[in-house]
Amino acid sequence: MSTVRENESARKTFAELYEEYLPRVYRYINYRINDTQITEDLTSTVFEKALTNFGKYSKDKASFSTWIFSISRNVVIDYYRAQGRRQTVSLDETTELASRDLSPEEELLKKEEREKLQVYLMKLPQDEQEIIRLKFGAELNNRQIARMLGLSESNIGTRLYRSIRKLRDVFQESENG
Amino acid sequence: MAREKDEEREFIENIERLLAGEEVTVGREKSEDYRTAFDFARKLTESRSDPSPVFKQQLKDRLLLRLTEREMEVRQKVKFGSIWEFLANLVPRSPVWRTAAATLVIVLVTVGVLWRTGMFTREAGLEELARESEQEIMTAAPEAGLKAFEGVVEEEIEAAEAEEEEAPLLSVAMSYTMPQDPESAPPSLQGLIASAQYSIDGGPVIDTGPSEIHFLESGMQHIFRIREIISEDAVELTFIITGLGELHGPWEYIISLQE
Repeated sequence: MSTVRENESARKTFAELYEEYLPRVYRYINYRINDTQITEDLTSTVFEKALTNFGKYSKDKASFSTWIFSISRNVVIDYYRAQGRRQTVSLDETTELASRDLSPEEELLKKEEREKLQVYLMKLPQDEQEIIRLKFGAELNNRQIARMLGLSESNIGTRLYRSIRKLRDVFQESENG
Repeated sequence: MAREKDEEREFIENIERLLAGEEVTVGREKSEDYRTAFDFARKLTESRSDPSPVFKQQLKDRLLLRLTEREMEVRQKVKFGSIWEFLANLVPRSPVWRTAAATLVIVLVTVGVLWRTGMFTREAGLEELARESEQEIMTAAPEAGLKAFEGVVEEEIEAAEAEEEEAPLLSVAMSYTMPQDPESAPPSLQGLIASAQYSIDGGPVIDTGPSEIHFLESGMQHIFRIREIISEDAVELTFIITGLGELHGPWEYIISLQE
């Protein structure tokens, strides 16, 4: 009976965490990988690893957010390592990707804009890219980002504000010609 | 310097609100630099992509299957009791449960025959398809002498109390035993997935959605939740098991909703 109850409790906990974190993990990875299929594959890998290692997770050591996004970062790094290439995407390549998309026009425009943003994001220093991904993709607060990147919380705020303005400038320059 | 810090702090707070789904308006008193930066942050937020519902559901199903697999590994270490002892405990005493038992026999025969077609290689038995409102579970179960189901019955009551508003009005439990030999290989996990549909008084046929899987001392139980407000005037529930593992139904059961 106790095992039945424990199993049910584990399922409930898992289901709740899954609902909360799936979109965030997916968006974080999608910020780094400009491909829906690969994003789905890597998101699956993250959750499979999380499930396998959940017994080792200790909330005394880190929040679940920090833990699962650490897994996410490592999964993406492993992916690029396996690919043996730098994580850059050319604008030509993104245009080609968008042109293959058969979704409705509005969705296509949104996708193109997202891809452009990703291309311009690549022009920022690595640490600034990661802060933006962890903020807008993973939706972590500054304290959690600071902990993951080994920086101070106030430093994250300063860098985030600066990075967004920098990215805006890059975007505007590119759009204006 | 202090003004810049304040502006930076406010900017970050506004982004947090934006990400939390709040409507954030930046006043005209803010500098153009601030306003355009915030507009850009809004663009970053709006351009994000969401996982497709299909992917979300498929991954969830796959992970739940992995959880089931792990639970089974633990369960494999538990020695099952005799199937015949289990059957002996299923003799109902109350009229309500005698009615349920009539349904039970039909399911027993049906499932038993089907299993002999090869889903499991060893002799396998039975089961129950019972109608259980939350109230009936509490009062009728002990009377029915369903010793093998006591644990699950208790779990049902707890689940109803915990969920309160979401508590289903009706659950249909389908249970079955598995081979008792601890040395035999367990059935494949895919073979444990069940699907079902229902219809009330000849109304539309609705999918129940995935069943909850419970491990019993001597087998497994699928609980299908019917999350629909059922009228007190409803007469009968048609419950259709559309698939059990690799076997395809339908196996249809008529369950009275009137006492």
